[in-house]
Amino acid sequence: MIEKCKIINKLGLHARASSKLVQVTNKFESEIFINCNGIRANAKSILGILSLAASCGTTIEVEAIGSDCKEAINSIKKVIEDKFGEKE
Amino acid sequence: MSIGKKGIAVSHGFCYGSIVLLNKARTIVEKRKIKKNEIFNEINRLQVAVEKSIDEVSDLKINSDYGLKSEHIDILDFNILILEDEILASEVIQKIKNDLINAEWALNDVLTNKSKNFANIKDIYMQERLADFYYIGERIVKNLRGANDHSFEIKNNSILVAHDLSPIDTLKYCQNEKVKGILTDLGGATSHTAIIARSLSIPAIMSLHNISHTLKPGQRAYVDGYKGIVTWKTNKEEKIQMESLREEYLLLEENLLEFSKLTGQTNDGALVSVKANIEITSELNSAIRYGAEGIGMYRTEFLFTSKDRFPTEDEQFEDYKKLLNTNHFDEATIRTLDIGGDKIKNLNIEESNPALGLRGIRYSLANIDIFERQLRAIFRVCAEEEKKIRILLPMISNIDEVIKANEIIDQTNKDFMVSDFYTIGVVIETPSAAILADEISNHVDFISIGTNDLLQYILAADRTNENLSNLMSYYQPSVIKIIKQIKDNVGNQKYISICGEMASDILSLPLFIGLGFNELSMNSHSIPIIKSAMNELSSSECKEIVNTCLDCKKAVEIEEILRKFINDKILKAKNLMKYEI
Repeated sequence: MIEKCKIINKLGLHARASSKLVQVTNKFESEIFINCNGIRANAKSILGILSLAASCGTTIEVEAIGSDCKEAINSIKKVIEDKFGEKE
Repeated sequence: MSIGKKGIAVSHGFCYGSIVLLNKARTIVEKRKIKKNEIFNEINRLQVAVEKSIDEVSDLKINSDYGLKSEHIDILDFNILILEDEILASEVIQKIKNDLINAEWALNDVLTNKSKNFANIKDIYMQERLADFYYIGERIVKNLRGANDHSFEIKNNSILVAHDLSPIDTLKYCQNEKVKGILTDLGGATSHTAIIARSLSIPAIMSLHNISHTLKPGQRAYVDGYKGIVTWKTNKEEKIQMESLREEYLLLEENLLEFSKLTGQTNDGALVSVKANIEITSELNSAIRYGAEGIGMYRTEFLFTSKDRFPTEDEQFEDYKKLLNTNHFDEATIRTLDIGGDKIKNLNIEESNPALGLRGIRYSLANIDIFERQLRAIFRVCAEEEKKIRILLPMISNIDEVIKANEIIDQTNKDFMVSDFYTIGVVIETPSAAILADEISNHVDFISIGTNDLLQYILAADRTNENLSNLMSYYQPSVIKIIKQIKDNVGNQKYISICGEMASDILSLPLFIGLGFNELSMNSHSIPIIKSAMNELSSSECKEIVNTCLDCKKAVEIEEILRKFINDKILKAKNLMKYEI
């Protein structure tokens, strides 16, 4: 299952946001990847996500493979849309 | 023939000793080939070390809930996530297997590559996290080595040589008497490591570029912490020269100690207290040694930034208590937290211009819990020691801030009822506070002029910017006029001091005496010379020189007048002035 999603928090996928994202993805059984800027990263790895250097306004592709892929993608979209809890 | 190298002298003293190399870059990681049958063992070592590291960081997180902001927790979480990262672990394991090398080297290699990748990402948040990579790597390497880390041993008469030395390590290695000198590639006079070296009276030279690659362990060298020169490979003749230099310095120190016994007063009897600025309480010894007549300012930033979290009330109490727990001082001045985005990265305050940002009293008023905790610790000391603490509030710019701070202080005091044992003062360092000095002084017990920041804000010039060194002069007419205005506005009834580097400037001394300041607070080692100079000046001559300077239009003219005046009047301390102390 693949869905597109836009990074809308001001700072993009920097250290803190990436930490939050990895904490979400690691709750799921599915294998999860993020495709962005021509790089495919394991979304359960903080180093993977950081290497994307996705800034605000970047559209990323979230890909989940496994039994709970749908829940995984919904949760990921939610944390991204919540701007990772940042106040701005 | 000897070889010499000059750096920045950050802590005075002279010593001869043998080199102990602490680290080349950061941690030394040795490369060691392993056999195929050792792979399993090596991977196992790695996993144990990583797990231990995760436990350590988690412990930090659990044990430091007091005073830890959510941003700090985020940083610890980030560290844990990297330690747990599958990619990191699998790449290191792959490297151990493929290259048949030890876990330390494999880990170092993978982390170096990763951080190179991230260094290309133009995002300041990522750049700051690069330091975390090193930190994480060092932690794992330390745990890989376990308790069997005997990579070096400190013998008697050692000179520590390092690329960079953290304040914590400096304290750790130098508290035994064996370390006689410190040399580092990086750093400067204002670094905390330099301050600690001074407080422990260990000669230190910094900014020696690649000294940690030049000197060999066991090599013998002379450290001249007055001129900032390290010398090695000396022949017999040169050794004799060095010994006569040592004699010269001993005489210098004797002179200084002689001067330190003087009272801070002019030859016509005007008293000007000469006190010490300190950054850590272990500097108290050198303050006393050099004749400080009190602690004019204890900066509390190091206490707040030396750990991964802010200090608890108890920790602050124990620390502040040391200021008064000595027979030498009846009172001490504590400057409340003067912290801003530039001084502590962990705060995660996003500011494009931290010098003009949420710092000093602004930060304290925006984080009342932190401010109150500091006040409570101070009041507990007042109650226990029954000696006076002067509370100094930094970065005030208007009356509202003074009133609000006073309210919080009054409110906090209700639990202690120690009003007889504290007074409140403000640092005048913003142009706004300088203009309002008379009104501000009505709300407080004393005034202190913070010359470092005041100069920077009045001249709109960054003091670290080398292109502006002509502009950044103590003798700019605007600087002298504003200091006079503040003094006039505050009047003669209120106690007023100068704290900041200008207080130790011998050429500015006649101005401060002439304007009638009650106190000068400076770094400890400047105290003897200032005291000696003061005892050779009269307040009436100084008043005249103030008027002469106020008539001048140019900084160079003022500097010339003051230089001539000092050269004519100061005789006893003259031969000491060449040592840049």
